[in-house]
Amino acid sequence: MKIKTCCLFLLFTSFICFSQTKGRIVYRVVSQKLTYDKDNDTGSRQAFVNLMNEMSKIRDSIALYLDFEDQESIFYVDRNTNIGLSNNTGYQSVIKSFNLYYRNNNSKVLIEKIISDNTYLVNSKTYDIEWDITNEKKRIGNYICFKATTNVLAHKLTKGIYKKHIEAWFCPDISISLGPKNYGGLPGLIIELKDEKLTYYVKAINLKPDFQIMIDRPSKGKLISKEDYFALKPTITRENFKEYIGD
Amino acid sequence: MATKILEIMRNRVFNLIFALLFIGSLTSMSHYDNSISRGDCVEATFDAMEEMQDLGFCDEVAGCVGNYHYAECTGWPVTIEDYKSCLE
Repeated sequence: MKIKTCCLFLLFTSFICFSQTKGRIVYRVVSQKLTYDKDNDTGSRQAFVNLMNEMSKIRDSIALYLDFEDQESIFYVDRNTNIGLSNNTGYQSVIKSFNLYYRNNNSKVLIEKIISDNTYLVNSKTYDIEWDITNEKKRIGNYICFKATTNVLAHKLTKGIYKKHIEAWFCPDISISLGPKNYGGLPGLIIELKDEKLTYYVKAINLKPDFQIMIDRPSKGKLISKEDYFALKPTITRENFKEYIGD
Repeated sequence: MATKILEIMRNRVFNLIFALLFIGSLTSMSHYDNSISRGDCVEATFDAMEEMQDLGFCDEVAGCVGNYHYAECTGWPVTIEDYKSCLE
């Protein structure tokens, strides 16, 4: 009887694991609001802050999809469904700021598709992201989550290449080793992820989609490593400021 | 009479010299203020561009807004529509 119970339990557990090989996670973003000092800041600062906060309203209304099937996943913004604030100025820029990310856990491939002057397929490996899992935990909605951090190579106009700090909260009860952008590989789904001034959070989980999950590995564009891609990008310093911005 | 005329002319010359010196000092002070404000504007523009990229905007958009931000900061007439032109 005991052996029968054990077998049934194992069967049930494995069914759960296998049943979570296809689905869609919907993420949203909370943008950190910028501020200014009314008494001391210049008019240009105030105008800039007001404009950025306006853009943040658009960004915070956009749904981002993480579709996955077996070992592949794709993180993207569906331009056909995100039309709520599409008439607002800046909508296109905000939409374009979300790149498409492809992941294959079998081949360990990560691809970020960036469309700027050209289309770049910036590739890296899943094991390039090394997580530091902490003992810190918190409840996010119905999920008990644990904190993990990592530092990844990034580039900014005003900084050049630097190490960016990422903070993720993952839930081991949801055995999907994925998250927003190409952050994954944790022993549970990333429920919340802080990336500079943006915090991604799970809005909805659909593990029984009644629609087809289509994951196409990006193929059109220039395949390039992260390091080589960053080498193409300019860095503005106090010394070359006039070349890029003004005199 | 001649002495009086000479005195008046000397006073006028001295007044003219003082006036020129005064105007000169004003100009140099304003140049000094201008160079400080330009430095502040460079820093403020750097901060603005960095904040934009923290919010996910690409180099092109951040650079475009940075241009207008610096222009407005250094006294050029920039409208909100100018900023918004970077976002379309």
